[in-house]
Amino acid sequence: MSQPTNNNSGPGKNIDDLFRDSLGKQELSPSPGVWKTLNLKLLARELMHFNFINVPTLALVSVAGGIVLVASLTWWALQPGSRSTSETPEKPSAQVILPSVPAKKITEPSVKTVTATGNISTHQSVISGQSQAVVSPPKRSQKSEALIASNAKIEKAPLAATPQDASLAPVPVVAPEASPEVTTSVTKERTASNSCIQYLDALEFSSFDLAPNPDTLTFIHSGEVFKYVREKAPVPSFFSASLGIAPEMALYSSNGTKTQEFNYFANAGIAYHFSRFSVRTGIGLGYTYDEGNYKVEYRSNDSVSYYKEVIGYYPDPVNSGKFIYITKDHAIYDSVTHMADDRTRNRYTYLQIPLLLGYNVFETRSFSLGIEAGPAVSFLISEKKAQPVIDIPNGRLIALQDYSPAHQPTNWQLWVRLSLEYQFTRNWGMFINPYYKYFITAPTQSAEGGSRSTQAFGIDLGVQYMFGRKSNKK
Amino acid sequence: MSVPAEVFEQCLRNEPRGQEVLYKAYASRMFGLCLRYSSNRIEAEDILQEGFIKVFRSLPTLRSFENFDPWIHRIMVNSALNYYQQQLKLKNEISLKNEMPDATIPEDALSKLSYKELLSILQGLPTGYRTVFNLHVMEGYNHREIAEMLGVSENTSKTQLFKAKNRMKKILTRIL
Repeated sequence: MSQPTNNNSGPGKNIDDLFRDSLGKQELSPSPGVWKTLNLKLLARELMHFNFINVPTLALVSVAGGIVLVASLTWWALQPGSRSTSETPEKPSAQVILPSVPAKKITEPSVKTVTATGNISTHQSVISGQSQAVVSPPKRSQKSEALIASNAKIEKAPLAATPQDASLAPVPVVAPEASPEVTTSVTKERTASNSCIQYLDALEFSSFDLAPNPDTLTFIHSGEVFKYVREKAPVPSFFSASLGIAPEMALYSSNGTKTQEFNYFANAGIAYHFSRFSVRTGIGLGYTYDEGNYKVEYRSNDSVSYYKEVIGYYPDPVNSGKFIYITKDHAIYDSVTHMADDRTRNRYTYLQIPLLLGYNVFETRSFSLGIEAGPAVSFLISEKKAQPVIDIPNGRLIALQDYSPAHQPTNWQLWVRLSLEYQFTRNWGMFINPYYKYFITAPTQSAEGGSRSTQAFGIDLGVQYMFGRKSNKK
Repeated sequence: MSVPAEVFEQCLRNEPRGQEVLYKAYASRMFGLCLRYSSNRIEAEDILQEGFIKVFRSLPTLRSFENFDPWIHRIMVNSALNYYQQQLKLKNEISLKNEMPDATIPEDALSKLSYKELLSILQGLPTGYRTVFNLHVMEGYNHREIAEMLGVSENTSKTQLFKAKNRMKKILTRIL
C-alpha cells in the first residue's frame, strides 16, 4: 500500500480539513479475494431468490420431463425382470451337501420344490442321498426318543458308511453342530429359502435339529447329514408414486398481527423405499391466499360543520323582555381528504419441491405409521391480485397505494409430517399425512419491509401405487 | 467515474461479467470509504461486500444511471451504519452548548502525517465517535440528519463529535 503524505494542509487547517482532504478521496484496492467471495454470495443469492416467473414454460416442461425420464429409467433399471440375466436358470432355492464320507462316493442330492398345494404327504420336496429317492419323514415320536437316547453319545457315534447301513443303524445320532469334530468332517452349510425351511419343518424334520438356531435345520436321512441354513432375506426395496391433495392453513405473523389463510395444494410424488426407510420427492402445485391491503386517498365534499339561520322569533311568554328565536340548521360543506383501507384477497400460485427422508415406526401387513422430514423449496409462479373496489360518491380519488404483503419468488421450508398408510391391495394404498411446515426464509414481507413469520399446518390425502412390491409386508 | 450504460444493463440481468466490471470500477473508491468507517481492513472488506450486494440487488430501483455515484456512496455509508448497528446505540447525552474543542494543529506538523497514519487515528476511535465524525466531517451531514440516521438525539451526535475531535487532538498532539 502506498503511503501518500498529506500535502494539502494549508495555513490554519484544523482536524476537519486535515481528515477531509487526506482521507476523503483516497482510493485503495481491496484484496482480490473480496470479489471472489462477493461473486459466490451473488450466485448463492441468485439461487435462493430464483425467480420462476421469468423461466420460459418450455424450460419448465423440459425439466419436469427430465425428472420423470430419469425416475422412470432408474425404476426400470432396478426391476429384476429388466436385467439381461433373466434368461439364466433360476438359482435353486436350496442345496444339500452330503456328508463327505471318504470311503464312499456320494452324489449331490437333487432338490426339487413342487409348488402344488394340498396334502403334505403328496406335496413332494424330494431330498435324497440318491437320485430320485423320496424321503419319508420318520415319525416324530421315534425321532425324539432316539434323539434323547443318543444324546449322550453324539460325539462318539460313527457315521454310517452307506445308506443301507444307516437304515439298519438303530439310532441316527449325528449332531454336526454339537460336535466340532463331526461338523467339520461331514457337513457343509448350504442355504435354503424360507419356504423350504418351513416345508421341511412341516415334515417334522426339524426334530432332528440339535442346534437351537432357528435359521438352521439339520437332519439325517439314510445315515447322511443334511444341513440347511436359512437364506437371509434381501432388504425389500421398491418405488412408489403418489397423488394427493393437501388443504392447509397458513399462519402469518408480523409485528404482533396474525392472520390466517386456507391454501390448497395438489401433489405428485415419487418415493424410494428400502427396508423401513424412504426418500421422497415430487412436485406440488398450489394456490395460496393472502390479504391485500390498499390505502385509498380521496377527497369529497363533506359536511364539516353547520350554522343556524334565524328564521323567526317571538317574545318569551315566561320571561318578559326576552325573545325565543326560531332557527334552521344549515350544513357547511368543504373538500375533505379521506384515507380509507380496502381489503382484498390475493391469490398466489406456488410450485413446491420437497425432499423428505422417512422412517416407518410401525408397520403391519396393511398399515404403516412413519415420520418424514426434510427441506422443501417453493417457487412463486404467478400472482393474481384482486383490484380494490373504490366507490366514492361525490368524491375524487387522489391516490391508491398498495400495501399488500410482497411475496418472495423463492422460499425454503422445513417439513415434518406423520405418514399414515393403508394398503388395500398389494400395490395400491392410500395415505393420510398430517404435516407442519416451518418457513426458513420468509415467503412474504409486509408493506413496511418487515418479514412475516409463516407457518402452515395441513393434511396430505391421496393414493399411491407401489411398483414391484413383492408382498404387502415391507 | 462513468461506466457504460451496457454494464448497468448487464447488472440488471444479473450477468456476472457486468457485475465484475462495475465492481472493479468502484471497488477502490468505495473501499477507501469503508476503511474510514471500519476499525480494520477485514471489517472494511465485509462492509464492501455487503454494500455491493445491496447495490446489485437495488439497482432496478435506481431511476437514472447518471445518479449512480452519489447513490452507491449512500449505499456504502448505509452498509457501514448497518454493520455497526448494535454498537451505534449511543446513549451518552451531554449538553455541550455548542462547545467545540480548539482543534487547530500547527501547519508544519500536519504535513508530516501520512494517509496511513491519519487512517489509523480514525480507525482507532470508538465506533460511535468514528461514525459521527465520518458522517459530519467527511460526508457533510448536519447533526439533525445524523440523529435521524442513527436514531439518537442531536445532542448525542454533538457529544460524540466533540469527544471524537478531542481524542484526535490528543493523539495528534502526542504524535507531533
